[in-house]
Amino acid sequence: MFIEVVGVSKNYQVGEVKICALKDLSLNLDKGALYVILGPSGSGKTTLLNILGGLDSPDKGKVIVDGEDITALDPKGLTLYRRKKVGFVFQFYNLVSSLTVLENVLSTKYLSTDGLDPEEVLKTMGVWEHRAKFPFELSGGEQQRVAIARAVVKNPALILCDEPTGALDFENAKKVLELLEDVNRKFGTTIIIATHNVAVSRMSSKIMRLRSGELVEFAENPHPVPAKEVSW
Amino acid sequence: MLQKIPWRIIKRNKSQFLGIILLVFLASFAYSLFSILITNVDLNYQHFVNESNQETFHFITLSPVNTEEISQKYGIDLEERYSWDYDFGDKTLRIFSISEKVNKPLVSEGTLPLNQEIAIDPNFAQANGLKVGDNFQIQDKMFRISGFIYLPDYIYIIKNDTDFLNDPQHFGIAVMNLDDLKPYLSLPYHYYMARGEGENWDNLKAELNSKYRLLSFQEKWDNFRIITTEKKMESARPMAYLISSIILTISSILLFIVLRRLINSMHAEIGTLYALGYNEREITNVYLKFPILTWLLGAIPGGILGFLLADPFIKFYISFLSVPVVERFFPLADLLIAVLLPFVFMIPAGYLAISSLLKRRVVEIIKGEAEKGFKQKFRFAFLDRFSFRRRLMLKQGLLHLSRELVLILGVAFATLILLYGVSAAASLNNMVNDTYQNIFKYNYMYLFNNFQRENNYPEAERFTILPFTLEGTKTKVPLYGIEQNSRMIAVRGTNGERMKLEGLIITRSLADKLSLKEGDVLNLVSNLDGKKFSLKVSGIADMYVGNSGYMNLEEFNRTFGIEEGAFLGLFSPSKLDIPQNALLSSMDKEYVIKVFRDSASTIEQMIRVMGLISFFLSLTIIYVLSSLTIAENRKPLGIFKILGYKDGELSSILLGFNNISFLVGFLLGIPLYNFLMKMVMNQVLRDMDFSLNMRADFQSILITFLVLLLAFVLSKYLGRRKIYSISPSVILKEQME
Ligand SMILES: Nc1ncnc2c1ncn2[C@@H]1O[C@H](COP(=O)(O)OP(=O)(O)OP(=O)(O)O)[C@@H](O)[C@H]1O
Ligand SMILES: [Mg+2]
Repeated sequence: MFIEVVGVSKNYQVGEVKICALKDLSLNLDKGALYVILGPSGSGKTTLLNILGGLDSPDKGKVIVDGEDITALDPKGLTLYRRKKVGFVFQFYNLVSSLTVLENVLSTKYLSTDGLDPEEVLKTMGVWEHRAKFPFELSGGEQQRVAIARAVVKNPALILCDEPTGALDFENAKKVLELLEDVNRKFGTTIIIATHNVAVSRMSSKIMRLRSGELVEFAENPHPVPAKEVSW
Repeated sequence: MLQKIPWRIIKRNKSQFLGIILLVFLASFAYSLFSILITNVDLNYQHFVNESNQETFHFITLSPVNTEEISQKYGIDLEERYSWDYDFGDKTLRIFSISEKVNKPLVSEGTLPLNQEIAIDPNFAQANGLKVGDNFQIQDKMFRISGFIYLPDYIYIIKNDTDFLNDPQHFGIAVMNLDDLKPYLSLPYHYYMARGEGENWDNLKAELNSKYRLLSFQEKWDNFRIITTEKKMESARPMAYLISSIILTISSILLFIVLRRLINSMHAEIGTLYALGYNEREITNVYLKFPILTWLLGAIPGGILGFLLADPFIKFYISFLSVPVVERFFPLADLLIAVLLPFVFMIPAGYLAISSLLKRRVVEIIKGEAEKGFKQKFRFAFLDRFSFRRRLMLKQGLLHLSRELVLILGVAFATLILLYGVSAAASLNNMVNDTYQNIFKYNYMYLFNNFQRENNYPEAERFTILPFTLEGTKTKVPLYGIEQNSRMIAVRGTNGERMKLEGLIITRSLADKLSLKEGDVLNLVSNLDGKKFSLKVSGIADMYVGNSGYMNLEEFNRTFGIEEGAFLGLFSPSKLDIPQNALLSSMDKEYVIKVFRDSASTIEQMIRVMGLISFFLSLTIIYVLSSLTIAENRKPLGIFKILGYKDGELSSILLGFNNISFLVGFLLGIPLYNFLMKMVMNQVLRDMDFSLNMRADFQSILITFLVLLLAFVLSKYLGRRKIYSISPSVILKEQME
């Protein structure tokens, strides 16, 4: 078992109201698979990804990644955990605007000891020719590909994608999904994609459905479709 | 509605604004403190000099002068002064008769003494726990202390002409009525104080010398007890104004940088206000609140606190100078300048920052186009050969050169202030440990009031000192004739080797002051008879005390036409039993060293103040700049944190360039200091026979470095804590909105 989520709950107190973002959630995830978390807005997708990525900690429960209980880690330990194991892809890319494309990729390459060749990764993502540009000089799709390159280059065991296609048009979105699929296949990276787009979930063999912070379904998809053929 | 914006933003960027407020505060505080201090001392000094008829010169003769005749002939006020040194324990009280025409005592408390009464100087009184109304015993008689007095020819109260520092613990002055003083008088010579207009007293000197045997003649500008105070005030003035105006300038530049960044970061907001229909003036008014608020919060409390705290500083300062502060002036002008000067700097800075943004088109403002264009310019391809982290660090620094420049200036300036304090202490220390022990090996110095022909004290060494002035100037150059192979004064060269006493050897401080080299000719005028001499400099000795020269006694006597074998003084390793009435003065080296040691605490005080100012100055500047950089880079910092960067790595990437700037600033501060000191020493102390080796030595530099390093490390720590407090998930949230 690669990731074990055991009875995780997360509450937010907003004024007098308590919002339950995650309710006693338990999951087991295998290494090397591509998962999709599906759910409507506010269902707790981001909350779950943040906890898995060590950006946030649950109020209750445990998250064990590769045998290590990350809920027991202090901020320093979490930093090391993210550094060694996790790559992130966000809806709004979150590239560092003052760094060039290549520098953005180098910024994570720098953190790893057994990372991949930045040139090769950027070429795979099809943005090598833009390496000297700044993020604001790229289109959204290109920026997102750079963001994937940045996540991939350190060759992490886990890549977490929060609405990676949310801000993209259909063509660009598909391209991004294809690339994620490639990475999963080529490097055996465990990838978790959070989305509210049902169509996206068709490319995954394992689909988790969240509603109001609860796991309502964890289904095998016996016939995953290649990203290229997904459409909406 | 709009009026709420500035307060909210100030609250959000608390630390940055606090930093600037602190700087403005420091600037106003320093300015008002120093200027009020100096104005008070200046005005009181002038008042004192005018009211009490300060002497123009004084002289000593062997036989009594016909004062009536001389004063009429030369149109001067002339008055004999009687004095007696009352030695008790390790203390000396020099008691004078009360004069009526020249050098009248100024009463600061109580009254002038009647019979059976005495009035003493307040510094001695304070140091020795004496109050008005107390009884003071002199030998077997009791005198009531009627009051505290100051004398205008003993402003800087030193025992001997040659002392550098005053010592109220062990030496003081007093006045009493001549009738009371008479029984103690035993001086073999006569001392006259004179006041009159004129420049040239050569005729008077000649007449006095032929008729009454002139032993010494000293003009006011030549009198250490008077001139020290004036020179100290003169040297303090530029230092005080320089320090406060530099702090002010630096804080204004800082404010300008912060304001511009802040306003740029609010471009979307300002653009929206514009789009909503607010006009330029309304928007400017809102954002001008930033400089106005920081000014109000910094300058006004700073100026007022400076004014309130001036009192203890005035007391501290006058105990050093011994200027009577009888009246407390309220220099409204100084206070106004201290409060308003920051305003003059800050408001235009703020206005410029806003108007340069408002000049753009509304769409541009909303988009924040300025930022993009800026970044595009700097690609820094040449940095590519550095490692990733170093490259980012260098890029960060090069992108914000103006900030680094402020940091460099601030640190250089802090170095300068601190170095000044530390080297002052070190050079005094040096004087005691080096000069007074390794160079001046005698323990007692005796100066006769007449040339002697026979040395009756076998272990003592003969010498003569004659006062000269550099031709065409007022620079005093005393020359010594000493034994060829003196055991009492070690004249050494640069490498510590004993120099052969042939021709004229001058001290390093004199050489530095007059820019003299070996072989140069020195044109001197005798202060006693006005004769001129041209002497070739045959060597420069490694001595930093006194702007003086040395010759061997035989050559000295031949050169200046003194009878062979005659001498004026003795250096001795032990106390000699010479009758008081044969001596003009005597000096106990132990006493001099003691005075130095005692004054160390005063100087330590000064260093502490200097250290505090420079510590906080550098801390605030570095901290404000760092927090600005961190605030600006909140988002990238958040992303880097998500990616797994540690706080330490982030701080070294973002603020690593500060290390370089800090070092550059420090290294710049050292030559800057040396340059400044040279100027101060040359300009201010030009006419004085006084010179301190104030060059920064290794130890002073090290201490300065350590103090500033502490401030730097602390500011780094604070910056690191700021980076730590940035939460990655909050950054992600902010983005979504
Ligand atoms: N910091 C927070 N403070 C208060 N409530 C929060 C906070 N973060 C999340 N929530 C609440 O927790 C619930 C789950 O939020 P989450 O961001 O995980 O949803 P999501 O599934 O990612 O939604 P979306 O698809 O819109 O991104 C929501 O009701 C949200 O309002
Ligand atoms: Mg979400």
